[in-house]
Amino acid sequence: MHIFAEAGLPDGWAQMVLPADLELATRLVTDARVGFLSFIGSSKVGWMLRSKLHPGTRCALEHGGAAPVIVSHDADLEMALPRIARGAFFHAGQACVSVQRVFCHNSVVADVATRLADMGSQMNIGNPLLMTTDVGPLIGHSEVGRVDQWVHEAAQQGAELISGGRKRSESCYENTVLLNPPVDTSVMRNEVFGPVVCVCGYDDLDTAIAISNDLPFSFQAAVFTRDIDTAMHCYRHLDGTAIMVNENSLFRIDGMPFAGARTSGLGVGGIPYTMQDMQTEKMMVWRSDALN
Amino acid sequence: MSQRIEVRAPYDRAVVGAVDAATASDVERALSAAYALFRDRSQWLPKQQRIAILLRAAEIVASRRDAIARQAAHEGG
Repeated sequence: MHIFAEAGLPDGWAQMVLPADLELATRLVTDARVGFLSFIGSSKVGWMLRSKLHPGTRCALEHGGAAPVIVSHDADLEMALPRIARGAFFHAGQACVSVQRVFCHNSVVADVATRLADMGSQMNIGNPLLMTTDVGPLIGHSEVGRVDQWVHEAAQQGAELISGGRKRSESCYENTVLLNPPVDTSVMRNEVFGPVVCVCGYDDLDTAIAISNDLPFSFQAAVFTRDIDTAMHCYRHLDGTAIMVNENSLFRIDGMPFAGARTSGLGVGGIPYTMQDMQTEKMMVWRSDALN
Repeated sequence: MSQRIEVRAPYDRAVVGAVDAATASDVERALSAAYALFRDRSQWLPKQQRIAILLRAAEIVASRRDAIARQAAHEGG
């Protein structure tokens, strides 16, 4: 706000309002004078707010997901693994498109799990103000507890804990790799929003895709393969608003369309797309004898 | 009298700062001011002015890049 004022924006054109509770925040966004709500946050709050918007108020929602990555039997693992590790662990897995579920062909699953675990274990976890830190804290202490509980629930239900699985401090959690967590565990069904990646083996690609698609999310997904037909097949059948080929699901640049679909969001973000979403077209019709 | 919201660093819970929580009358004041500007086209900023403001804001952000990045990392983890 200070920067905008310094840049010459007059009063009233951009205002910051920080309601202390959800009730007042809801009153703000559901007011009849609001033309557009742009929301980034949890699916639960986003859809709730949308359901209460005043008639005439439009919105864009951006929530999260449990981003899937397919690793085909022919993937270039040297290229893929550092990318998948970054996608899983950077920002401690707290991006809307952080890699969460990695479906690997059974011929490479053990290798992927082990090497992802190694890469994760070598990252420096800690103080985000230090240039040497690779992965910072979770957003709150209670999140550390929740992530830990989900990891151990998965382990108790049969997942193999390959690395991590414990707190590093009150605020930081170790980069964690779980191998073959059952599909109905929290880590496989809900957005982890933590440094936890589920590595799951498959024999049949379409079965993996079906499992991947069996969640209400749809955001960015990825496939690592050297085969064009495999890439196209995944593009066609994997739920997502964007399918990255040989890049992780976290990839984003300002100018590209960035959107959640199904419960993951509404509308399309990215500079030209957001501008489009926020505008309404106004048509003018001229009728004049002079135009005959 | 509005309450203060303390902003704490996720890493070590150090207090980064504090901001005023908005009251119901702050919310009303903000909505009313924004809506009044929206409804009065004579007050709308011409395109060239908006472009100039955005470019200037970008320059200011660029000149304070490190401090802003540090602040964001401190506050956000």
